[in-house]
This record gives sequence, structure tokens and C-alpha cells, in this order.
Amino acid sequence: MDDSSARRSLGEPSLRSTFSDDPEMRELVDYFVGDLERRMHALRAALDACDAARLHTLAHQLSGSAGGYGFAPIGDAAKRLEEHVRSMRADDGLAEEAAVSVVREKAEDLISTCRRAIRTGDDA
Amino acid sequence: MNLSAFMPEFRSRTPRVLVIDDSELIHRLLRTRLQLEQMEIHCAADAKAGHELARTLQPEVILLDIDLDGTDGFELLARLKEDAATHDIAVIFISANCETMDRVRCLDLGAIDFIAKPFEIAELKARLRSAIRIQTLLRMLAQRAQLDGLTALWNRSYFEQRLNAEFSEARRHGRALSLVMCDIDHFKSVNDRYGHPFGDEVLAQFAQILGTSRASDVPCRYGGEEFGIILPNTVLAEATEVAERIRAAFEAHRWRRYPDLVLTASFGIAEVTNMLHLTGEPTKDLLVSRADQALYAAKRAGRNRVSNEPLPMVA
Repeated sequence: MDDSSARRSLGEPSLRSTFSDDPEMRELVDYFVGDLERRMHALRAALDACDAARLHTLAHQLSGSAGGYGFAPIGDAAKRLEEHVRSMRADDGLAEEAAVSVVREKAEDLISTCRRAIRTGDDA
Repeated sequence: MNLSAFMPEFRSRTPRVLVIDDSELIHRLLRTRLQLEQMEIHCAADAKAGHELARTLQPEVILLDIDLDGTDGFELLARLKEDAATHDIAVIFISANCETMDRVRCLDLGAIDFIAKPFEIAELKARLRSAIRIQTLLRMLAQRAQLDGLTALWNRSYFEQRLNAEFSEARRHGRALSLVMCDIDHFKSVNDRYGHPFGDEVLAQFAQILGTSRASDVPCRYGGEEFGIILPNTVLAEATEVAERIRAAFEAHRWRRYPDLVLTASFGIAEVTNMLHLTGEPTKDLLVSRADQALYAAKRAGRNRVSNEPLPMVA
């Protein structure tokens, strides 16, 4: 395994699928990474529109699947967002300001984690 | 009622797995990860499409996501278990939120297993294989219990169940449904004269001829030397032709041990839409008794014939 942290460039460390070397998964991992672009846009749009239901769906889909594509950090970030959105919806607007800012923070965290993902052929 | 649940096709086909999950990412992942397994993968994105596919595909196993959009997985599981066409399908829950109470609720609702997301693919495969193995055995047992040991035709209990289902189906859609009851002529004297082993051979041979009927016909052993054939979507004239072909084939059969022996059978036919002029709503039992009466008429008229005219009931 190459140590991507040793090769990180100036920005944030890139995130490589743990299945990068699995021939069965290569095409699928690249599909997932390519599709992330669209998902990040959707997350951003849902965040701007304060659309909690949409945020929850998007986070839920990533929390359940990213791990399966070898991107556990994305799955974890998505799960944190999903849980916060859910508890916010359950609280029904209690301490809304504070809750919204936490959700915003978790969503930004998820988006920046997604941005770090790289395709199987890319250099870390 | 979904009649495909009755079809004897489970024995040889590749096991089917239906994935019901609202994420396309999961569909793709599972299709790829399970492509080398001995199983067909089918996917549905919501509860409605999932339930429909479950009915038509009759998969061995359903992998069901708890957190579906709209109808949640618990609700869908309850519906699958209430539906006679799907209630025997093994359901494995998958969920990212695996609290103990959720697991308990899943199993209480009738799921057989629970897998947490994100799943370890090796574990998922092993659990699927095990579920498929058990499910295939259960279906085989259920089917065995409905097959006649001597003739390998469907048995009486299956006959009743299937006729019930076909009868309601025909009435609901206003379709034709014929029933042929048949009986080997003088079978008791065959047994007495040639012995029971030969009697069994005669029954098996008759069953074999019944089995070469059209694919949609459902031949069953009704009991002893009496057989019933359910013919969905078949009018009286067509059913009469089917019976006549069987009658002729049986009469023409040459018995290896007794080349001069000619055996025959008699046939009585009734058809649902033909009974509508009768007073009252036709019932399944009335269909059977009209076919039986026609069979009796064929016997009375000299045997080795097909009758679709029931004798008038004796009060």
C-alpha cells in the first residue's frame, strides 16, 4: 500500500479508495468518484435552500454506500450529517439557530471530504 | 393471488435476490460485488416497485433497506408478510442505523437476518448464500409435500388449492376455466388380475400421458385411479379436444408385458362460463361435481369416452 499521506500535495490530503487495487472494484470506484461531483452540488444546493429532507436523503445515501466503495471517511462524515439532520427534524426547530449552524458545519465537512476523493488511476 | 407461486420452477433455476434500496449506489455496488455468485440480482428503488417485483420474480431472498423514502422498510416488510404471494420469501434487512430495537423489530416482523451498512462484502455473500440454501430447501420440501409419490403429478391437496386460486381468478376476470376429471376403466380388475405392481405401472403410464398435455394444463392425481386436470383459459370445446387426445393416446399404448392388453379411461368435463346459466353463483365445488357427473355419464355410456354432458342430478 502506498502511503498517500507521505505524498500529499500542498492542499488537503487526497482520499483513495481502499479497493483501488481490487480489479473487480476499479471501474465502480471511478464511477463513484465521478458521481461525487454531482452529489456535492446537490448537497450545496440543499444546504443553500435549507432543505433538511433533501440533505437527509443525500447524507443517508452516502452514509450507507461510501464504505462499500472503500471511502469510509466519506461514509462517516455523511453519517454525522445524517444524524444531526435527523435530530434537528425530531426536535422540530428547537434551538434552531444553533442546530442549523451545526448542520451547516457537518455538511461542509462532508463536502470537503468528498472533494478529497480521487480515482483509482490518479496520483495521491 | 399470484399463481406463479405455485409453479414448479424452483428446482433448477438460478436463485434470485431482490435488492430494495433507494440508493443507486447500493444497486451498482451489489450488482458488481455479487456478479460471480450463483445468483441473479434484481433491484428496485422504492417500496411499491419492490413489492411488485417480489410478486412477479418470486426471489429466494429480498435484501431490504429499512430507510426507504416514503414507505419505510418496516411497513414494506409487514406488507410482504401479509401478501400470500410474497409471505414465504426470506427477507434480510440492511440498514445503516442498526440499533438493537430495530433489529428486534425486524426479526419480530418476520425478517430472517439483519446486515449493517456499510457491509463487509464477504459477510454479505456468506449470509446470502446461507439464506438461499435454506430457502431452496424449504421450497423443495413444500413442493414435495404437494407431489404424488407414485406418479410425480401434483397431489389432491395441491389440486384443491390450485383449483381454488384458478377459480377465483377466472371469475374475477370473466375467463374460461375447464376441469377434466378422468378415471381408468376397470382399474380394480387390472389390479386383481395382473397384480398391484402392474397396477402402479398403469397409473404411472397414465400420469405420463397426462404430463405431455399443454404446458398450461395442471394434471393432478385426485385419488386412487382418478385424476383431475385443471385447464386455465380453456373453453369446453378445447378441453374436450385435450381430453380426447389423452384418451386416444392411452388406448393406443402397448403394454410391454401384456402386448394384447388394451386399457382405456373415461373423461368428464365441466367449464365455468358454461355454468353461468345455472341458478346461483357457480362455486369450485360445483365445478368438480359437474365434471364428476359428466365422468359418470361417460362411464354409463360405455366407458373409453369423453363427456361434457353431466347427467341430471338424482334428487
